[in-house]
Amino acid sequence: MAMLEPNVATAPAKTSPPVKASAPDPRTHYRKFELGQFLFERDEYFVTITWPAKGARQQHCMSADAFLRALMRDVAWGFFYGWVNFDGMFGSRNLYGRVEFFAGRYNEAYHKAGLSYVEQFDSPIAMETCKAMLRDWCNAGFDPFAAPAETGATWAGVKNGDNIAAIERFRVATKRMPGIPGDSPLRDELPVNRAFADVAQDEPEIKAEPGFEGKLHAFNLFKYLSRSDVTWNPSVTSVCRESLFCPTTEEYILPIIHGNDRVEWFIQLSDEIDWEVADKETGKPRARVLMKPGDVAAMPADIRHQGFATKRSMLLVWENARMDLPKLYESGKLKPYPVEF
Amino acid sequence: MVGPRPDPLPRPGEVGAEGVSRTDAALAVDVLTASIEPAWRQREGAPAAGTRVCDLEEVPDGSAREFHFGEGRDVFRLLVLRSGGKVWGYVNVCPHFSTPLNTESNKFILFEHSRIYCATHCAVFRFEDGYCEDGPCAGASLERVPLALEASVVSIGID
Repeated sequence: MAMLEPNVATAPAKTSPPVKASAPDPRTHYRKFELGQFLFERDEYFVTITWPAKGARQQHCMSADAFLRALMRDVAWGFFYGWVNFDGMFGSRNLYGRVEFFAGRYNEAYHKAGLSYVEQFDSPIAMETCKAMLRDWCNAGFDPFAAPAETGATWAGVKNGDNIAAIERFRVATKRMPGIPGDSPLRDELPVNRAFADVAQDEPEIKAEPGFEGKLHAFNLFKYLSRSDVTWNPSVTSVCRESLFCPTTEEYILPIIHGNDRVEWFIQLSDEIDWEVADKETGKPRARVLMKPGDVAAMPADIRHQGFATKRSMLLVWENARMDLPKLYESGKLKPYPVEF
Repeated sequence: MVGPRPDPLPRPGEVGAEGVSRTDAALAVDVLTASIEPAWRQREGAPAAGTRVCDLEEVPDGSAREFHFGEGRDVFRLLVLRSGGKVWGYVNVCPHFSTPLNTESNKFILFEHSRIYCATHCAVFRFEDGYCEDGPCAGASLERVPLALEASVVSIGID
């Protein structure tokens, strides 16, 4: 395989590891990208990933919009927790400081046939390569965070401009809870999403007992979520030690299949999400869960899951951010589920 | 005040100590009351000005070390970064998920003596001002802890 040279044209104007990218293709004007032994290439409709196995280059093809939606989540979440399967073949695994990219490793048939491939990278170079692909491959008008009905088919075709503002949009960080002085804002400046026009927009009234004036805080989470401008992208709304509430709004398909490295609690706040749950290692189906408003589910630490939402819905994801959890689950010191029936 | 307790260098397979920021109700009250004290001083175990942290040589050039003040879950985690003869101090709490920048004891992700990455979700911070220039909390900053460097001894400075 021809090796690509570091190409500063695809890197942001800051100190960062060099990304290996080709010159723009003379026909499609998209660049090719290389990360270790993985090669990534896109054309009008597809992203093709190749890797070495059994003395040859193996190849996997994804629709470019599906690849870019998944890649956007991987970048926005900083490789998230555990496994981010772009589909049943390709994905990444966060090793917290390093990241593993895999092809076929968690596809039982490919893996048993010896066609799978895994390679680890330092997180910074992996992240910069992913960002460079997003910058080069997202055309003008295509927002990989948006629902298909909102962003259309602008992703297709030969290279047509870019949409840096969408892929590098500002994401607020919350220290304790939105709306507390000095903390993140309450999204008052964002419009109410078309799916949540009936959501009440008034904030709670706080009547503190004497001595507690100015020491209590509350906000309208439904109003806050109704103004989310992204889908399948949790943001922190409360921090209590390692306990994080990360609510989000969901429409269409979760662009990745998330393989947990810890238990995640889901609380359905509005509408419905249909979840497909499968074995993390093999992908064999384990369950189908239709969550309705008020339903609570604990997604075990040994599964992968993908959600489907026809109407935009509100979901509260409750995360445990303890750093030692992945090792506790891998070692068997913790069971992969929180409740035994 | 409990004195500095340098976090030992990791052994193979060792998992870093637990304990993160004091993100409990008390901190929320502190924020609401908007004290004039810097936020880092309001944290449990925050060392007083003049407290000795370490010898400069304990933080090799281009590296990062963590020092603990206090005990238990509310331990104050001081992150010290060094480039050449300069050192910077920050509370070791990423503004993204309020977790430490390292997931294993004293194992930090550094780049070119000038950037430190959060191991959890890849936020990138500048040594010189703690500003997050890329990642999920871009635009936010680490909480700065003033340091003083005198006769190759690093100590807590004055805000």
